[in-house]
Amino acid sequence: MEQRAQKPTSVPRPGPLRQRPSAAAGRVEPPTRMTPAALASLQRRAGNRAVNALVAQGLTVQREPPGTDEQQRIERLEASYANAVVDKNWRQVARDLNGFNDTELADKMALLLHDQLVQVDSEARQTMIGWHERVTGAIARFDAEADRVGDLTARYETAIKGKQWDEAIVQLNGFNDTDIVAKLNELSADVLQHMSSAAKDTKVGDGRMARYVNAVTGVEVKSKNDEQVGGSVYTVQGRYTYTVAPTAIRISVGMDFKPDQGVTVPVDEWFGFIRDTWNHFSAVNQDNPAEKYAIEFVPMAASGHDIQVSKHSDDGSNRANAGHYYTEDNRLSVSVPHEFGHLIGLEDEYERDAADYQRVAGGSAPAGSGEAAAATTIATGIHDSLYDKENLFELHRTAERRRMNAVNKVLADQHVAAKWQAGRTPLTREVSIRYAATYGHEMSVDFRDRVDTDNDEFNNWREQVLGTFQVTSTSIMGDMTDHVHAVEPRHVRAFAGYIQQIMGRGNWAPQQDH
Amino acid sequence: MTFWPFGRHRPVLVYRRQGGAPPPDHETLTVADDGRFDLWRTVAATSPIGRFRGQVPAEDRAILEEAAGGCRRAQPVHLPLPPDAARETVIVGRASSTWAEDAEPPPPFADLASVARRLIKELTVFPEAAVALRLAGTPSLAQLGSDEIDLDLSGASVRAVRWEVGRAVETWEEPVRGPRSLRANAGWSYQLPFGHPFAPGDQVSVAVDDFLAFDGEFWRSCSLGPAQGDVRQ
Repeated sequence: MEQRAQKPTSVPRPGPLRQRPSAAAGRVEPPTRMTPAALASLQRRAGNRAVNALVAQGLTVQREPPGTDEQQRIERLEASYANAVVDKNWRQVARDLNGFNDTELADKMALLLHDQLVQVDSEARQTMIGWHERVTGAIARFDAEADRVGDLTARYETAIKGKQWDEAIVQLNGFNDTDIVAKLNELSADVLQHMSSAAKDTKVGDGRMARYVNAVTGVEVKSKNDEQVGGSVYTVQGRYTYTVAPTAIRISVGMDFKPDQGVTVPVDEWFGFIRDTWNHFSAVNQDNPAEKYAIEFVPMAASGHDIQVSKHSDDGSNRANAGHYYTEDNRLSVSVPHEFGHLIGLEDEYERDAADYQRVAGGSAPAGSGEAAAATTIATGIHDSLYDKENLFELHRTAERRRMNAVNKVLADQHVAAKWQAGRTPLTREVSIRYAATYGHEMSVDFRDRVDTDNDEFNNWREQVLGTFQVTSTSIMGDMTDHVHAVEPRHVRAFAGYIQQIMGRGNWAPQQDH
Repeated sequence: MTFWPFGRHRPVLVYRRQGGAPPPDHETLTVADDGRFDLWRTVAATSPIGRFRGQVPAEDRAILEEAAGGCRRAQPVHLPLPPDAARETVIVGRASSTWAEDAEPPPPFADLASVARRLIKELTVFPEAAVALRLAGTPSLAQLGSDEIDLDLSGASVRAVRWEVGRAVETWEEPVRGPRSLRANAGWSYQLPFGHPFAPGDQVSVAVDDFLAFDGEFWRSCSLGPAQGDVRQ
């Protein structure tokens, strides 16, 4: 039995019901039909390509006897429907669908995509109150999930329009996380604020919705860590705001440039260096690699980090630091992205001891040169120098100085630079490895134990010599003077971690994919 | 260890600039109460590296003593270091203060920092055992001063950068592949490889990185430049 809605359709018609012979006869119909008038209308609005695509899908152009009221009504309906689909006017699509008979209705459903059916179902429920069942029922029979989501969408959008924020957040919780993020991204800042309060008040999803709303609104992150590099303690201050968009997590970093008088900051060029270096990763769900969010860094000339900009440094070496850039730095394409790494809270990866390196880099220190014999000779020489015995009636400092001189001689004999060469010489790394392997602990343990006086003279010496055997990476956060300056997954791991926290499911990790 | 060749008298100033992004600094200046100074440089753009000794000019010595005098009565300061900055340490009397190489410390230390930063450049006109980058013609290293200096050029590299309107646009780099051990004495010079692709008339700066110099106690990793001059292949 053909069911027909009792409410008027978009096109007024005289009779309560209409029976179209073609449908009533049960004839096999093409997937859809279109009259010449409807086709011409579509061609005007959507162009030849759209029409060709429909023809390719099996569209036939129906030629009917001209002149009847029913035929004119159907022509107008077909034209209206086609235009509404092209315009994505789902409200009109729903109303027009109601004007077709059951067979045509089913045929047209088959040509709509799932997401389009969701929109039609939702609009039908919101605008055809009390008479949407014929359309939504047809959707349910064809795609039950589209009907369910359409119903949810209608409830959610009705709540939003009615400013029923608690109801809206409850309904939003019924969507999958991709849809939640997409829908929240459509809201204004004011509405997001209301939704944030509602998420907190209702505690819906045990905090899940609050996490989503916060992530879309923006979460400010501040960090402060001390790092020990080459014997000095530096303070790394990260500050940024991340927001989650439908396909990306965006990390906005305010860089407030303070140029010296007469200095013009090439902001666009520097931001280009940053984007070119950093924007190559996505947070990917390892359980379902199709799920991913691009990790997108957005440097902004705005408040956040104060950065002085000078033409050149006092000594002309023009080496940038986290708070001071130089326009005459000849490695700006590397140094600006390196300093940007500090602004998002990353520590340096040069001149670190092996344990620090492992903590910061999340992996083992680099391999050595493999020069086992030479490295073992140096390691043994250092060890034996440090373990030179303290004589009876001898001042402790006298023994310490003798040990220091002996170590210095070992290094000088082998042309090992006594500081700041860390990691650049594979041999010094090999010495560290051999020392640890031979004596069961890192060299630094014996240095601190055997030359233990805490004053400037002895501290300075320890720093200089130990620095020689520290570790440096060749990544963007490592030594900038060599040729490898890549961003590694570890540098953006935190941002995949945010996605993990927000989603509360899956196994999200950074992956270089663009 | 602080190198201190002047006997028992406490120096007017001990200044050190150390560390920072590679190539890291190891610059030390010690000025005795009679005006004699001892300076070691490892990283220098336009001045030589190595050891410098002599007498601080009278005018500068007066400025230094006035600045140091003000600091002697002040509480020491320790300012936080931003990542990649070299650390400056000044020791006046028994107290030491620290800050970043580009920081302006509070008075009265600001004046002392200013004069110390100026002196480590200007006092390099008194080389004892030093090495300079010569840019006239094909770039070369040249020994300066009365004393010889031990060098290791095996890990050194030359870098030339072409500039356009104040911006670096192209870089060329080549290892020096010099001797691992050499003693540079009076008159010594060493021609650097310089097969860069830049055209005559291009604005080019030159730097030499990662060569070692022996300061009497340790091998120091040194860097000269970037400096601009009349350079050609």
